Amino acid sequence: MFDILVLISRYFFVAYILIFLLQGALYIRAERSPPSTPDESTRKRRLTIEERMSGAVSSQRGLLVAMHVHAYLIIANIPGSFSFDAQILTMGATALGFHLAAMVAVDLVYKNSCRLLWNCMQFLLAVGLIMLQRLGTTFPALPQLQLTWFVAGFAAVLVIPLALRVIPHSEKLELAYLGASGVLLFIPLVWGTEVYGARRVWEPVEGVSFQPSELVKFLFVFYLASALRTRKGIRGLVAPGAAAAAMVLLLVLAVDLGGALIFFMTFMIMLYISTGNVLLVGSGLAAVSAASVAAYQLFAHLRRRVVAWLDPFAHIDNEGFQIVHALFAIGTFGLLGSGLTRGAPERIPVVVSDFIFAAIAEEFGAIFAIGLIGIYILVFYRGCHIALRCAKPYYALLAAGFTGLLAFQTFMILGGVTRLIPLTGVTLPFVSYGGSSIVVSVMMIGILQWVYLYNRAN
Amino acid sequence: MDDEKKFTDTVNHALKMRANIRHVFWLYFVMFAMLVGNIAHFVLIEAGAVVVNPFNHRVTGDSDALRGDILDSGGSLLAFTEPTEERVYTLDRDFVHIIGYDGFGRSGVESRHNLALTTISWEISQRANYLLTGRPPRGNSVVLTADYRLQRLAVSELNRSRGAVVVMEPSTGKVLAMASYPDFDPNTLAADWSALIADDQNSPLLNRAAQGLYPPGSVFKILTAAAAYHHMEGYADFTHECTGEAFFDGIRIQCYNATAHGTVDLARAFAVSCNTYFATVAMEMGPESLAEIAERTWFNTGLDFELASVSSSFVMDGLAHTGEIIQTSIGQGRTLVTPLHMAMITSAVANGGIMMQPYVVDHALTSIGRVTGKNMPRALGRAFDISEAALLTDIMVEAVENGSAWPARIDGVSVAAKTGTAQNAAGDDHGWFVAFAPAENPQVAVAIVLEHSGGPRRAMQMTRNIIQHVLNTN
Repeated sequence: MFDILVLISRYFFVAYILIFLLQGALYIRAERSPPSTPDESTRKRRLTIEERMSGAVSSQRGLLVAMHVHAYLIIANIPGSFSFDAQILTMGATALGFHLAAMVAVDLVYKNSCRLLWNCMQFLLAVGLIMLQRLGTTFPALPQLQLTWFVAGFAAVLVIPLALRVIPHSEKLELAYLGASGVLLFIPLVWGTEVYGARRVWEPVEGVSFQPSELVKFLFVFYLASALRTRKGIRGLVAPGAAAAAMVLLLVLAVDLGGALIFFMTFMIMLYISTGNVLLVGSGLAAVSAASVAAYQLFAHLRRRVVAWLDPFAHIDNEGFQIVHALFAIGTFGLLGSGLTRGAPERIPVVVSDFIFAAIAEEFGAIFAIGLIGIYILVFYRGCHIALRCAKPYYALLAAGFTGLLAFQTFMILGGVTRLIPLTGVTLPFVSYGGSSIVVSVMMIGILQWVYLYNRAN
Repeated sequence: MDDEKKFTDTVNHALKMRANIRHVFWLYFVMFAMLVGNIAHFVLIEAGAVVVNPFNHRVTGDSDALRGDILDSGGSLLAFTEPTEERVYTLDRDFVHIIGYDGFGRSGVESRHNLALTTISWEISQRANYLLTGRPPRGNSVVLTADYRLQRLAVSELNRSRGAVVVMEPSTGKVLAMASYPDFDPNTLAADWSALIADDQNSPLLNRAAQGLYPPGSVFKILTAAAAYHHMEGYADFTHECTGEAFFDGIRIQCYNATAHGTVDLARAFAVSCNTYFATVAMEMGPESLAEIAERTWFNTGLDFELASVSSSFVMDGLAHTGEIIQTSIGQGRTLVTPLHMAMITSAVANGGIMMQPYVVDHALTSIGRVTGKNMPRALGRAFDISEAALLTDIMVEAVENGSAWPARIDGVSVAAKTGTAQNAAGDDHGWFVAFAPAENPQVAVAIVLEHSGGPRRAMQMTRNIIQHVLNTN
């Protein structure tokens, strides 16, 4: 009997995400519409823009809560009965408390910030947590840890406005950013341990791993935004160019090729936005293509990835293993998925971090998975929107830089697990399990919001 | 003043940047739209072929759901699962090399189409129905291309002699019947299993039709003739004086029973299966010509067939010595073929030269009888030119009308065929026969091999009966 409910629930989850996206579109439409003048001739009072936007925000939040409760009830069900696992229900209630508290907190601390962006982020976080809870039978510790990371991320976000008030002229600290990132990037080279072929993790304390390149993301964008904030000739671009190239190179030396590519693309985006010089960006891309060919010759694990991409089925039991299992997961149950708890996502390798999208597609179906991509598009749309509204180039570059980092990371991992591009092992922002990944991604949204508020105030 | 200039500079810079930011957003949009397109394309179009991979262990069936039925092309029930979850095969061993078995692992259609058989369509309504009526949900049914009457005919014609029969529709590649002996009874698998896997002598689990490799003998002359048409100038006027034997570089080759066929051209040599003629032609053309025709006709190439299969092997290259060339030209040498592949080659001749992908499952049916997962005929490629196929048809008809294949003659129907007698190290010769009919509008192609039968005589009788059955029921 309960399995019928799970099967019917598939339609609900599709509805949650599609209505969520629709409300996002209504929010944007309301925001873009001209201020309405009170019209006495129509008897019906027309809603103000603010009311329309608030309505969209509230319904999105309602959908998020509904999805969360719905999913946790399914996961907590004890198969073959109508009773529920108390531990999972407690976890669900705690997480629900977190979601509600987060909504209130951002409304209070970030007054007049972009609530659509917060909602999108929280929806992604919620989906990730649901999937981790679902995989809790195989990875029992992770849901709770993930929730801890959410709390840590939001705590950091609530501190951001304060921190940036303490440092009033963050645009003039170029050299400090540069020095700090240099130090951080050296750490994994010296003390790093290897994970999936990349020396990207540092364990200062046993069991607490930390990826310095995650923290460098901030410094990198802050540095480039301050270095590129004024218009420069080619000669003026040599120093930031060399600095960015050095950082990318350090990541390559740490064999974090995915990270290196994300940094490089972000650099190209910021360079393009600042200079509008297509030739410059084009030659940069040409250089990185040449470098990729060299890296292909140099790194055996890169060659394996390309082989796995070109013909995963011919190498099904070694190189192609990961991607083939991701494709099985995405393809087997089609548009609506197997229904939550009814698939076999634990068969997917690295399912909690890099491949979590495949697990979502398997149980929630391809429509939901595509809806998730729609939410990412909304996030990046808002990022660009915030950058557009900045009067000062420094802030515009900050917003565009963080948006770029998130966009390329998302694209690389989603493209990788769906075999659009060769796989590079990076986490899916907001959804994958991962301490530094969650905290850093959430903080980036915090900075975007802060930039948004700063520009509304000035 | 300086400050003011700096300020306007900054503002100008910010304004210029706005257009660039818009471009960047559209870049993101295109990137993610590609992602969406790729996923949609994968799920809607590619996934069906990907997820049937045996490495995909998803959908092993729910504990309370029953495996779907397997039906023949006319809808007769061939396999079903009892509410006790026992799998029953209604015709016992007749379909075993097509359907395979479930339990002790899986094989055949049960393995390849496991996903369809365990996919519960309209699952919500089936489960609601289960609650109300106690009728357990069922997987989709799978409908074969084979008809049970023809299949039983093929099995009874084979009459427990070692060998295989493949009956195919030339224009589509549909397998209309496929029999192989020794076989086994899938209903008593549990009791027989240890004996079956221990029986190396008979290897009853092996589907000889798709997995048995045999020297082709004279049926290979179809390909030697095609090579002559293609690579030998003036083949049409070429004649050969057959004395029953010939020598090439001191190596002797004989016609069957050392019969002297006199003056023969291609059609006559083919009709009487004259070894010395084809050896002479092969020496004239050189070994590359035969290698070329082998490549065109799908030798050494894995076949994505639904049942376990092996590819036929042709190993002669341009460096081959005389003995190998003359042996290969008459289907001896090191060439090995499967009966399925011979049926495909025969069908290609019948089908104007286009070789079709063979298949055994036509479609699946959902619980409410809606067709899903329809298999469409698919061309593998062109094996012969149209005129080449026409020539081969002519000489194959001639072989029946005035040649060695005369026992396959049917009144009022022009049959095209070729006999084969394959010498082998294991004992008496294997008998081969390939045929299609009617020659002017082919409905059916047949390939039969009978191990150690001494010759093709019985295979011809069988073919005749099978073709008559198909043409009478069509």
